[in-house]
Amino acid sequence: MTNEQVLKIDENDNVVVAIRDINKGETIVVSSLKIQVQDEIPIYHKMAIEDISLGSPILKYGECIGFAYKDIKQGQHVHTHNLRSKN
Amino acid sequence: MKINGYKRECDGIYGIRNHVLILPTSICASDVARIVSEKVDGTITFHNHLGCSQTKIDTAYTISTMAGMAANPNVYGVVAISLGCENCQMDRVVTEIKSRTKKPLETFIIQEVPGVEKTIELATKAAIKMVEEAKAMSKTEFEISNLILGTECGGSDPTSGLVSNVLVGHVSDRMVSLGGTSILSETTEFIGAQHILKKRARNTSVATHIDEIIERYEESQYSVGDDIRMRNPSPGNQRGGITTLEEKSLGCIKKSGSSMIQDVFDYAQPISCKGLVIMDTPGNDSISMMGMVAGGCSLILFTTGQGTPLGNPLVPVIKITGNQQTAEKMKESIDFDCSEGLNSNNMDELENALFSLILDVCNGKKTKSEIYGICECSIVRVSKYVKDGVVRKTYF
Repeated sequence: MTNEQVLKIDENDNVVVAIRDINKGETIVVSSLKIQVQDEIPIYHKMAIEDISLGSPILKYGECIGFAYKDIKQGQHVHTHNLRSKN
Repeated sequence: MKINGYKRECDGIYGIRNHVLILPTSICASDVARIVSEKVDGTITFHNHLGCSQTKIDTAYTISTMAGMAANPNVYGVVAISLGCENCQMDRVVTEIKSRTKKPLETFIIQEVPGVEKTIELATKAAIKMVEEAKAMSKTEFEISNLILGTECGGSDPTSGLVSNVLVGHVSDRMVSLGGTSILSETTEFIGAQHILKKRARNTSVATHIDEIIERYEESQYSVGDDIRMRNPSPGNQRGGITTLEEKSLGCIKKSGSSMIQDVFDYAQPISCKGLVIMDTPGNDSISMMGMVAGGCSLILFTTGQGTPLGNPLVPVIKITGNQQTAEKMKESIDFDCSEGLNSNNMDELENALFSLILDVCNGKKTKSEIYGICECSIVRVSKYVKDGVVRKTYF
């Protein structure tokens, strides 16, 4: 499922991968869902497509790649500042 | 699918290069080996930084790797040079080489010849004679399924798991369906993805073996006070957008396609079966590739997100990126750009194009790392010499 901005790899994923640099404030559409981008998302980095609460799994490739160690809002950058291997 | 290469009549295997290997059996013989190799076109060598003052198990891995290099199908013959007093004694190395191959082998021990100048003179003469014999060989046509394909990834970024590793997975599946062998390496990068690999194991014994090598790797890191998940992904992986080791691993294993996993081999162990196999290697690319080369692979597909110059002296390494910027910025190091695959559904077309390049490389086309002569490589060390809190803690 690809458009020009992001790639959602698996239907169960709660993050998408930016396939170009995305600016804060842009609106992008993922699976007919309109998302207001909250942070600068560098190319190939991840963005949350739903609110993810502290301790919840982050899903990419349809698999758990780690856990949120902060509450993450829809449209936020997901990386080392809010995602870790272990819960 | 036929290619033209070199039949090793003595061992019943086929290679795609015809090198004479100048093999230093320890660090103390490495520069002498280099000088000999520089004098004789058609030879290759490597800087062996091991071979002495090692633990028993590391000595065994070093000898096994050297023997595997000698037996590699891309090698015509071997001129081995040792110092004389090292732990990896020439007779042990020769015994191990002869257990794996019957190809031409000449040996020189610097302290017995004696001396550097005389060793260089005699080893050079032996190397010239062997290169002449190698050049007299003509190529033979054979099925590509006779080859063992190695797969590797390094300097990964999210495009690796999205495109380049997926593409290599398709090629790996194709090699398997043609009756060939493909190796998935880098045990560190199975962590977090082992549940997927285990489901694809041929039987429960193979699945258990997969668990064992992963657990052993993590445990060995804990035993010296380290946590692999805290320092892998590397800073470069993270800048590219990979956050956790699990994320990196899930992308990494896509190189293995969807074939059944037939068996798990130890580092540098001869690969003795067809189909997709795992080799237990560390995440360090040059060390991992050396293990597969010693296991008998004659060609490596190496995916990279950030770009890397790495190659290997014995086997051609085809470097593949799914990152368009890297394909441009690191173009001297990239053999195949598959970044189009990120925005379109033309993976079949890309797979055919990559396979066509593989055939060309098998038939003699040089890869970027071969052209530049970038072939630094290294042998695994498994013993941990420093225990956390006992030695040098203040430095870290």
